[in-house]
Amino acid sequence: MSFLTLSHIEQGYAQQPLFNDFNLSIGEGQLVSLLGPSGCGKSTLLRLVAGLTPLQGGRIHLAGRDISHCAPRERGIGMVFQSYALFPNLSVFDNVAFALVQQKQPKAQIRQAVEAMLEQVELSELANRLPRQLSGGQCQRVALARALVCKPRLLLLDEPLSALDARIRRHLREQIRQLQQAYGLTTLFVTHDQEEALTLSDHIVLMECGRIVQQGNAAEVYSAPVNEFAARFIGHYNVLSASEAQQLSGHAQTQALAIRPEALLLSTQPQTLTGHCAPQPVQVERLQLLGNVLRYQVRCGELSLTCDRLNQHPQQVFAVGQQLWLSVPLAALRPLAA
Amino acid sequence: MRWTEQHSYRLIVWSLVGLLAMPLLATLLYSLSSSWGATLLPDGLTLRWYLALWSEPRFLAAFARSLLVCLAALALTVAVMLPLVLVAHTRWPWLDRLMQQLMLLPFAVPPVVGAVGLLQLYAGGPLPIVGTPWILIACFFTLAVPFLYQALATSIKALPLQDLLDAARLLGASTPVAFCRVVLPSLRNGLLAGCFISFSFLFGEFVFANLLVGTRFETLQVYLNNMRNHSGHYTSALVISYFLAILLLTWLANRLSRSAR
Amino acid sequence: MLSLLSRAPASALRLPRLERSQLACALAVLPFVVLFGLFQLAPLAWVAVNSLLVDGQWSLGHYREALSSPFMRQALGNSLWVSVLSSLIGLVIAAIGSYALYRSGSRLREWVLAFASMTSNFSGVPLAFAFIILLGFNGSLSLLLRKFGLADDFNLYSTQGLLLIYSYFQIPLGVLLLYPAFDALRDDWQAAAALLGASRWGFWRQIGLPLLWPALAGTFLILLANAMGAYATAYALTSGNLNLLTIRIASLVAGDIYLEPQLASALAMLLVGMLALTAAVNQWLLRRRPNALD
Repeated sequence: MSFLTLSHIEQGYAQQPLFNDFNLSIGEGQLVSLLGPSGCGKSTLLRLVAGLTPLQGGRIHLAGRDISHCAPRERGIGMVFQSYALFPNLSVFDNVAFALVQQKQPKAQIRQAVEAMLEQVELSELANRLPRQLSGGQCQRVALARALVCKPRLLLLDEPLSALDARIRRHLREQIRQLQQAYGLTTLFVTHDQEEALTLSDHIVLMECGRIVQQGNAAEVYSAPVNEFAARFIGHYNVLSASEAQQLSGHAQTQALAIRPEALLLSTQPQTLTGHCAPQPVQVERLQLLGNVLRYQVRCGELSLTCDRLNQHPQQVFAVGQQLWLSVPLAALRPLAA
Repeated sequence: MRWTEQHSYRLIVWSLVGLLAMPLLATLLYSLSSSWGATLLPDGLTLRWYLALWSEPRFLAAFARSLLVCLAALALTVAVMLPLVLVAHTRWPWLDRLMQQLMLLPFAVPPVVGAVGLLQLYAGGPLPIVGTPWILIACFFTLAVPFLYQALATSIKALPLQDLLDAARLLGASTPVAFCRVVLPSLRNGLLAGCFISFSFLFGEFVFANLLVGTRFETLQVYLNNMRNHSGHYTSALVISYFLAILLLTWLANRLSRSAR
Repeated sequence: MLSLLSRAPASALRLPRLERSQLACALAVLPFVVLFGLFQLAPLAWVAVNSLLVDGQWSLGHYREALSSPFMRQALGNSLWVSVLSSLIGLVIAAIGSYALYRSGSRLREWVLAFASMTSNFSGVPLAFAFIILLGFNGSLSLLLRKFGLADDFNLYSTQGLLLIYSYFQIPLGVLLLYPAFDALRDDWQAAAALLGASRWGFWRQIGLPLLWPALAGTFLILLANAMGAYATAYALTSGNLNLLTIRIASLVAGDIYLEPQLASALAMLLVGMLALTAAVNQWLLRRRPNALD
């Protein structure tokens, strides 16, 4: 049962349409990521759902109601902006209370609701601070609390973590997920970070130039990219043209292929394994240490491939220039749509 | 719906521009018309008034005097303020705070007030310079100080001064050499922008020029005022010539301060 | 500096390195101190002292004389009236203009801001002349208006006319001072307020105006000070026949008939007092301005 439905969305300028008959539906209680490079229309989509950009064509339904042309404040939607958009003249408490004040709720009730909300995001001690006295992570939590306090039917997050450093980002990511699940909130999450999308979402919508390239859960999207764009955006896939693929696998290929770097096997001896192509001689060109993973760039004739290995034993690191053998599991070859 | 809103904003902006441009355009038209009596539009167009203006020795002399006094005052201000700004931003931070307070003084003491004291102090006594260009140069200095201090302080604050000096010293330059080769060139655009702004301000100065010196050293503004009973076409040509000079200067200042940013 | 020199034993050349650099700093600052002292501080001090001297005795006589003369009181009143009103008019128009500018495209915006900074230099004598050409007795706009039976009794050479000219030169200055504050208002704030249930008016009442008001008040004060201290425009418009505070001060020290520099000083100090007050309030506002709008 679809909770949020966008149907036949048309948007953009005559010469330069961004969305052309765009359709998307989202189930209740799901956290859905809109993933794509900047300019792919994901933020515009969010603003259309929020009503911040007037809709040019198509319909938007939320919980069975047509909200296509409602004012933003009539939609019951909470949103966290990339810049947080905290009101600089209001304290943390007043920022969070803003929506309840607009609804003219009784003072005591507002106080109770805001205090409870602040406690949930661990900001109770900072209630009287002004936004400029907060760190980035604290601002982010205030923005989240402000969006959640009036119990929206839908939560929109516009790259909410992009301005934060890596450690805080991971912590907040978990906090967002917990809150979302605790409230059973349907959430649309815009990001250009594939790792963020993979770890956080129930459902990923991969977009390019106003079109949906692929959607599905994290495992599907990661393991089965549909085309070259998806393969390159989601993982560090090796993308091979049909002729390159033929050279590597030794089998006739008619389509371009993608291979995940961690599926490739490197060894010092040629091993003939069932379900694998014949071993190919390769030479290590470059080595990157990514912590738990070692990323090799190897040359196989004309081809340059990326191979990931777990960094298990420091002694088993191959050196740059070393001659190795490469085996490719046939099952790992993903044919790509043109 | 959004389109009409955007249009109405543009309409407001353009009416504002029109409002601000109206006296200028009327003056321009007047300066170009052969005669303009009791009719809505002038009778004919001519460059006669500009030719008359630019061949009038008294005007040219006043123009040259204004130029001279303004340039001298600017040179003096730059020479005095550069070392001060450098000291205030390297050695004596308290001086910067003091200057920020002092720069408010011209804001609270308009030239008319200053002129009262200046007339009494320098009409006689050990320094009798009222009626000479010297007092104008000195007064223009006090007028230009806030502009130049702000311009210089802003551009020096934008520099990583300590890092620059350290880097220059590590590369073998002494502190004075580092100042001349690294800091001063980086201040150039801010300095020039400040100069153009103060120049167009000083060029339009009337109060000191009229009260302290008057016709004894007639500057452009004083000349303009003394021409009040002359033909309106002639004074219009004068106003437009003056404004074109200002236009050029502010345009230069804008360009420079943009590239300084 | 004195103590520094007295601690130096024999010759300046043998001063310790630190003191030598202190001396260099002092020398670098000295020309400014002399010039600023002689031509900014000394005249002000002369005015302050002499406003309080009557025949060599400390007295408030000049102030009493200034404030008891109906003529002077009228000058003070005219100055205040024209300044406050023209500042308000200028502020309102500049605020509307700045908001429209903030909402229009960046190309137009840059151009208009450059135009405003240009016209803000258009003041004093040339401005008065331009207005005479446009709105004087035989001005082209006067003729047009009279033809349609409008503004028949408008007189440019009165406080009415002065109010018009003052308002005119306040507008570009107001736009230049106000626009940065509008520019600092982020679109996201309006979007966030709309999503949280605020109407457009609600946004301005709760967020927009509280953020803008220090800038609005500060701009008003600067415009006010600008108008109160203005002299050239009014002088050029009527050769000094309008009764304004600055015109009275100038005519008491440079008039043709009788000179009373000490009475002029008292008037000048009244003006300085009012301007200093606006400057102080403005500084206080600047300190209170939220950082987000710096």
